[in-house]
Amino acid sequence: MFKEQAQMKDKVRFSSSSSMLLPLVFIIVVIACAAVSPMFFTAENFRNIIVGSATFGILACGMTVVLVSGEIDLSVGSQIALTSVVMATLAPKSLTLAIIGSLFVSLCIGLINGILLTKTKMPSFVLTLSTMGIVRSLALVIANGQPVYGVPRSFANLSNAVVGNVPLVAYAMIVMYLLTWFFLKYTTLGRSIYAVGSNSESARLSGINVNRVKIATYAISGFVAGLAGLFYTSYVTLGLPDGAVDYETQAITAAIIGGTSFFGGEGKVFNTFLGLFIVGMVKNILNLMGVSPFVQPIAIGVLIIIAVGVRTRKS
Amino acid sequence: MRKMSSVLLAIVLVLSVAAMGFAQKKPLIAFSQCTMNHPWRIAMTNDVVYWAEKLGVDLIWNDGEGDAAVQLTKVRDLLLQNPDALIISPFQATALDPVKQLCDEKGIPLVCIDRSIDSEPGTDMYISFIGKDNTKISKELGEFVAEYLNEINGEYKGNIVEIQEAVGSSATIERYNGFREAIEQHPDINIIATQSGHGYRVEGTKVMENYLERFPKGTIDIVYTHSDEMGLGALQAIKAAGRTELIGRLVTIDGQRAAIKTVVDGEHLGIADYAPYFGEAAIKSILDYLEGKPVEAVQMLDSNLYHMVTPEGKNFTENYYNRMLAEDLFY
Repeated sequence: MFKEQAQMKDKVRFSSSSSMLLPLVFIIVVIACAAVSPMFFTAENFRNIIVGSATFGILACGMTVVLVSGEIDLSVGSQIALTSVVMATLAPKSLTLAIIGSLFVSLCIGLINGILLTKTKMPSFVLTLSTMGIVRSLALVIANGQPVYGVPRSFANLSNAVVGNVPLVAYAMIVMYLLTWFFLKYTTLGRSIYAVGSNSESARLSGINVNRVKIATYAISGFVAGLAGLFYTSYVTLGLPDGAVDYETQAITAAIIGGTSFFGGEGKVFNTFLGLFIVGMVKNILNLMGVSPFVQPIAIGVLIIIAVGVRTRKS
Repeated sequence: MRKMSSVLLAIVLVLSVAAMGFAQKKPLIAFSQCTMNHPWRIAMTNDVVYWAEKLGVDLIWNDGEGDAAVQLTKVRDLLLQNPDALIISPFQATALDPVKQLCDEKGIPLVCIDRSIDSEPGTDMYISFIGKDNTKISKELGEFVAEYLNEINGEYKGNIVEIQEAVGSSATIERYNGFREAIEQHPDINIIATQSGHGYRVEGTKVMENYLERFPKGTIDIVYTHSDEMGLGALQAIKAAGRTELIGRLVTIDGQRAAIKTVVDGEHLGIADYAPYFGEAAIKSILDYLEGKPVEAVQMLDSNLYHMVTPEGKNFTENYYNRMLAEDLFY
């Protein structure tokens, strides 16, 4: 069984020789976009791409960690909705309380995901599919199905703030990606996540507490979803219990275009970053060219097939 | 010298051609639709596209994918192309309110259709909100029902059963209250039952089946449903139960083609339309604004009443239905 899995993994292992492929694709996309539309290479457009991709980008950071551990977290989109509702509900009392409270809630949901996963041994796809619905319902129940007003202007302005002509959220993303990179590469827990993801049995034999690692992974995912939720709330200026639907798929898309393996053990957070902006730029250029919204998902689908297909074939 | 003058001539020629091209440049209008997951929304977009072509403007549009954040991002993409005006049907009033600020900064006139944003229309670049008034539409439908009952019974008297839209939505509340405003003028006309069918056809059938069991033949005069979909469901229940006395006693709101057809066929009494047609008013308002003419800050569009009771009504409804067929309109 494990042998079979290991073989399977070998087949789809993304070869290291493709490490230059992604930056190359990134550059090609930039050049192609610039050639197609004169509006692409403007400061304002870059700002739009960055701000428009920010929620997905923050989520994709956490998603990469989860995917590296060999699991998946489908509940993060719903967690954004819940975070935004909690944030908007608490904000009129105290902004600090609202920020801490909503991050705490999402951290708890991550922990619950992790504990349920290790206790029940359910496939994470099935488990987080259920929590996705439960968390979404929680958001709708708390908000009574209605948008929650009460996000102060000062907080709402954060998503649009610029420092030296660069959106504030861009710095925040860079810091997040650097932290995640450092965490995965240089901390014991980070390296354990790779070990558990590539082969949990041998990780266990080498003395790693697999369950604890998995719980920590989901806690990170939950916390990061909370951060994404805070940005989302600032961007839409209110709590939206029915918002951020399908955001988990956007985060997964960024991660897998960036070469994160679906079978765990492999993935680089900087490549996720490139994947995120490849998708962001393709979407942006299609909008600038006025391509019908019905056709746009085809482009993204083809992009995934090419990006992942090339790598799997190579190895 | 000769060479120089010919160069000059060429430059003048090029410039004048360019100037002509400039003078004939059509206005560019951007349209942001909040979602395309419902036939009503698709019909709305098609209508904007149709009127853009008919009124000679260039149109770019995109779809907010049913998410306020996505719509806001996509509005920014539209504004980057420096359109002469922006039309938006916002997904949510507060979340899309920053659009006004973006338009103010860039000096791009903004028109909201169907739904508004938090800002007051008529301030800064937010030139107009164009919508339809559910209360007024349902009140007109109520008045039509009262007149009809007077005609068939010789007095303003009768019993009505009602099937409501999704509970709590603003449309439901307005369609509930507006209809009553008209009916309550006549003490002998009573709404004897009201229940929610959540907007769906199947639910409409179920609620109507209950009503038919509760109220025997002769105790119901009119069936009022808040939407065509539920009305068509109710009609199905009426036919299945063999309650032929209720055929042609249904009134609904919306005006989709399948329902208009039942009016033409005589199975449906009347429809107050809430068709998603805002394109003409929106683009004409923008063109007026660009020419420096005044534009009304709030425009509530008139609604048509489709019925076969009077010769004029019959004529109007049949003509409209034929146009729907000819142009393949869903609404």
